[in-house]
Amino acid sequence: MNAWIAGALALPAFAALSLAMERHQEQVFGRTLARRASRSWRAGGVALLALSLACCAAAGWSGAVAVTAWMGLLTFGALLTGWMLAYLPRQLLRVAGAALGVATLAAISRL
Amino acid sequence: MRPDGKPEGVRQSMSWMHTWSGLLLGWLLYAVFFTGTLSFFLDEVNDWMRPELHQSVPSPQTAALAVAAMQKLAPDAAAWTINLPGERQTAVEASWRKPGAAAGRAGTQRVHLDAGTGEVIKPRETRGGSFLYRFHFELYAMPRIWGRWIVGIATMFMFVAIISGVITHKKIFSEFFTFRPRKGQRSWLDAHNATAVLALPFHIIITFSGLLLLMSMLLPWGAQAVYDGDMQKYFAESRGRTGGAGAERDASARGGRSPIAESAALTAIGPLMEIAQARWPERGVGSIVVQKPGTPAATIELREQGARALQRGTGERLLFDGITGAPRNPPEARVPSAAQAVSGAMMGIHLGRFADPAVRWLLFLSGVVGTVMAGSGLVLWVVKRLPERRKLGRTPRGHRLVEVLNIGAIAGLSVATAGYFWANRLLPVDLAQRADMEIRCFFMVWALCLVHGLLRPHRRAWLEQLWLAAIAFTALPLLNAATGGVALPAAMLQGQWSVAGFDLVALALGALHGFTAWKLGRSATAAKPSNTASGAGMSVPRPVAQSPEKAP
Repeated sequence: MNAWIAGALALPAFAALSLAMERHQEQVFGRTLARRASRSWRAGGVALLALSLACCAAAGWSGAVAVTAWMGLLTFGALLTGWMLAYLPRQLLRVAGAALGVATLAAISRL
Repeated sequence: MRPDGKPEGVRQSMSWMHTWSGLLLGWLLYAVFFTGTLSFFLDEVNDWMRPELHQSVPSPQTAALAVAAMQKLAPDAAAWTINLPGERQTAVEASWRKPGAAAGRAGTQRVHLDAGTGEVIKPRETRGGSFLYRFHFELYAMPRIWGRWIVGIATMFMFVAIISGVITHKKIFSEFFTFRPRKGQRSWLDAHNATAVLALPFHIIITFSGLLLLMSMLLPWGAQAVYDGDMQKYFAESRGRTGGAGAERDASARGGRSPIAESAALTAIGPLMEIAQARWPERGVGSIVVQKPGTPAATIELREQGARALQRGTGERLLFDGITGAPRNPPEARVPSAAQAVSGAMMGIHLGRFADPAVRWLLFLSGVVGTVMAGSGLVLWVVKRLPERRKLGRTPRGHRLVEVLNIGAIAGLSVATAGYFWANRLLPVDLAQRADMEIRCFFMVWALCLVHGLLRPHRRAWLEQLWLAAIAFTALPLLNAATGGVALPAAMLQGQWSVAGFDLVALALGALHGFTAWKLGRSATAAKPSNTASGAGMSVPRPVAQSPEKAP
């Protein structure tokens, strides 16, 4: 279960990281953001990545497997982000937000 | 390598290195990636290719039935090993050693048992997934050691290509998420970059651990010096055969049992299994090892299914007295040294031994990404040279050669692999040397694809072979149900995940090939009017402002 949460977090994490970049801000928002906003997106992305790693660590794997699985999940989070930016840039926020919501709900239900 | 003799920058020389090391060994590396990726599902392929095993449906009585069968089959064996069915195996796999049998594999007898009845099943003769698995590091039809050397050298070049590729890639961070579709060469380059960069941890780990697996062959001198040339001792020690597990293995190898030993009945396995199930509620029991069955000294060891950690042999075990069923203390697990732990973990990652289904699928999909990276790199070589070719007004022989080899190596390998699975079901079951015939079919189909690529126009050849592969993979679940296997819905309902898993992978591969063919077909029709160069590439190339690689 924790592994699924970790996977669900990878997409919003990379979406946030991509939105710290001007090229992708234009694709998604139609304009570039102020530097401070960019920095917040980047900080959010890094935080979500760390959270995803923590979820992998809590998924019952040994340390090495947890890191391996985390990197595997990141690969597909980043691929999905890149694919959405290329084909459905306007949907990126919605889909990433939905993934974040699902991950949050799943985490709450486990508390 | 500039013709004008001016000094070239690091990036340019790395680009040259990347292009040519990638091209020369790219076809081999593609095949290694492709067959290696399929090998993450080795057990599933093995089960699927033996449809006789599909009738075996696990039940709660499986362990008791298997032990009863072994008492009939091998009452006087020194030891039994019974691998119970699980997520990746649908029948019981039992093996035993006769007293005084030869050491190693030669002295071991193996049999498949029906998990629902305990009857012996005689599956068809096939090399199964082991052929693809062996091919990915030993190739075929040559001495094993040659194959390993060739693949080992190719793996080193893969490492070179990864590192030089990263250096060549100018905008690794600013183009991290960039994919620009429908832009010809630019799109191919973006796809090659994305599959390489986003799965870079996987590529590095899988290449590096692959080298480590061949390390004792590629660089034997260190171990030879330390062990005075006694490599057997080095292997035994690096696998930790000095302590607990080793002693037990030696005992069974000697057949340790005197002929006058009195006989004693084995305790019922059911209650022991219940104890183990209660202890391992998630994974359950993976295998049962009975030492000295039928004697008063018999012991029964239950091992946990799969292992949580990367290293081999770290799963939990329970040891019982074989007569009374009383629990005993298992031998202390050996604590591996740091070096052993690290090398064990690296190799464990490569083999995916630890992987539960979710991680196994992640590894498989990462392997697919790596395969796409290798393939897109090969195609890129051709696409990149289209403007040059158009200017020239003809296709140079070298370009045409690369085109044909690309078709044969990429699309042809898919068709050949699907053909191997079809041959497994269509060749008569009692054919002489059946396993070899299956492999011969694989290579014949592959050779035909190469010839087909030579005879047909470039794009037609790609399209035809991709569609053929898509249809052949997609139809595999139907073929399975029609030729004695268990159909996909039934397999899923009965929890036979090894068979169902193969069918699902086949459908995924079919979809992937179909999607690629569909995309290619669409770009082909769109590109037709402007497409004049003979056998032009995958889509119309446009001039690219910033190419990461300057033509040599």
